[in-house]
Amino acid sequence: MRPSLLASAWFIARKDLAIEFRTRTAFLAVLVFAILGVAIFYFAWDATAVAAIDLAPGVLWVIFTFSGLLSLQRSFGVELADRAMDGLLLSPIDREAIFLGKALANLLFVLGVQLLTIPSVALLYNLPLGRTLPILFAIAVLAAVGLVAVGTLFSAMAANTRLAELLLPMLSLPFFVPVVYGAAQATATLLAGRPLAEAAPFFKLLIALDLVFLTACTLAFPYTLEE
Amino acid sequence: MMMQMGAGGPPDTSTYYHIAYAWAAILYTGYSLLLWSRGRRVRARLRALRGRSASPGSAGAAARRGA
Amino acid sequence: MTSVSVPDDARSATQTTRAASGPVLFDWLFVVAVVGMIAAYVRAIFFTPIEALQGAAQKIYYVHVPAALSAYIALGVVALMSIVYLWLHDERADRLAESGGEVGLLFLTAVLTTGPLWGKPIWGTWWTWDARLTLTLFLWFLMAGYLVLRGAVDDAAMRARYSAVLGILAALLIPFIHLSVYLFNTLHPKPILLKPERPSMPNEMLVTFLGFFAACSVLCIALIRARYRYGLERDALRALELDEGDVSE
Repeated sequence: MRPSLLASAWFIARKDLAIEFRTRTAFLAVLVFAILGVAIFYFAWDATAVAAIDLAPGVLWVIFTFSGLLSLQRSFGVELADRAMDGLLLSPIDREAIFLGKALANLLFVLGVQLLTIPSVALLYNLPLGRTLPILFAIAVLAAVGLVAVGTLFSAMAANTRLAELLLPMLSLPFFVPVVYGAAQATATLLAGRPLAEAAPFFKLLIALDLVFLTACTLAFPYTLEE
Repeated sequence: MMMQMGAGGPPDTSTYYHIAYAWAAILYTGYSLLLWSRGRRVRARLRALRGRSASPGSAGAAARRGA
Repeated sequence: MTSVSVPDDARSATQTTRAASGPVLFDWLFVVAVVGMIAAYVRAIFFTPIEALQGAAQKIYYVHVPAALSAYIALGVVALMSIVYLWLHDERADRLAESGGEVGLLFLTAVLTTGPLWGKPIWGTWWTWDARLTLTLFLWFLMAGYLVLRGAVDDAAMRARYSAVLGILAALLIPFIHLSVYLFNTLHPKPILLKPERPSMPNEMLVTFLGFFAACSVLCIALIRARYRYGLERDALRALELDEGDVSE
């Protein structure tokens, strides 16, 4: 009996996350990178020139982008050892499910890092925690979906090339920019206390991006595998 | 060559104009020359390999990338 | 001078492959394109009046905008051939896409360099995040990435598949860039000192502009064609080298 798409995806995701939990090194490495990055931005900031609430969204989403990239780089590296990918491909699992599973694992990984990074930003920049944290998490989820959809696909492709470490950022970053733009503007609008309606165009941008790229990348993934 | 149209004359922005036109010409010509020289190199190697196909010479260890 | 001449001793070899590889890289179309570009240049430089408000730099417009249009032609080829390749798996589509990508990068570079040279005297700023320049910048990075990706994959079929996927995704990204730029511009009105309205071009200028447009487009197509033929020869060489490699083992 062929497992359903979502069940297969969840199975793959659980496998990846289980591998991740066993060692935890990648997660900790990305987390340390993110928090150190936030700290560096803090020291590079002239607090008298720019208000915290104006700077914080930029810092948050820049760190989000680069820690996201770092998370994605390990994603397919896991399968390269022992040609574990062949085992996956021989199993009765849809190729789209493999992609969705990997993307889901990456999503949870990225959100896990953000769970700790966002409060750090809020604390360091003295943002009003009660009001900002829920908003930031919600935007982070939306942004992460788009980021992870494109990043998982490109990481699968890059892993098979000679210039994997160069190619993943080079190919992904143009696609990340609208995501980060929408997230940062939505954040800035809401943190400044403006009504939700003003941030609506950015949410629409994020949601449209998520839908289009999740669909396109899921459909494109089988083409990146051998026939 | 130049026709003055305004009473006070247009601002002198000709440096930008010269650089832009020259640069565009350089870009297009440069690329065409590059393509031509790449083509020549590939043809030369093709000729060499085909000339050698009768005798079992050692394969060229030269760059595989024809690009 | 613009056509590659084949020496006599190799003529027989090229005759047999003439059907596959085509005679020369730069043929009559390229000659037409070069003549057209020279004519357009001469007309723009010597026979077109200088605009009163903006000075000589306004003439950069004649080079900048047609280059952008040529870039879009080339990139349209990439996107279309990417879809065709994934659908039909015809290596010719892949080769054409590759040619479009390289030529597209050339014209995108032209746009991105002439743009600031025009913007500085006309708008007072080297760069502005308006729709065209922003999109061009993104397309430049995407096409550069496309070519780097192609260079990093050794297996031909994998290279073609990966490039096609990237080509299609890049095409999908364009409306989102437009939307982002639109939102950005409605939020942040440009503090530009001098923003001329789109000039209602008198006939002389319009003719020059259209002439450049035509010449540039023909140049784009001629270059894509030349690059395609080069690709054919290079692939023939690769195939031969692979065979040689097998024999020597």
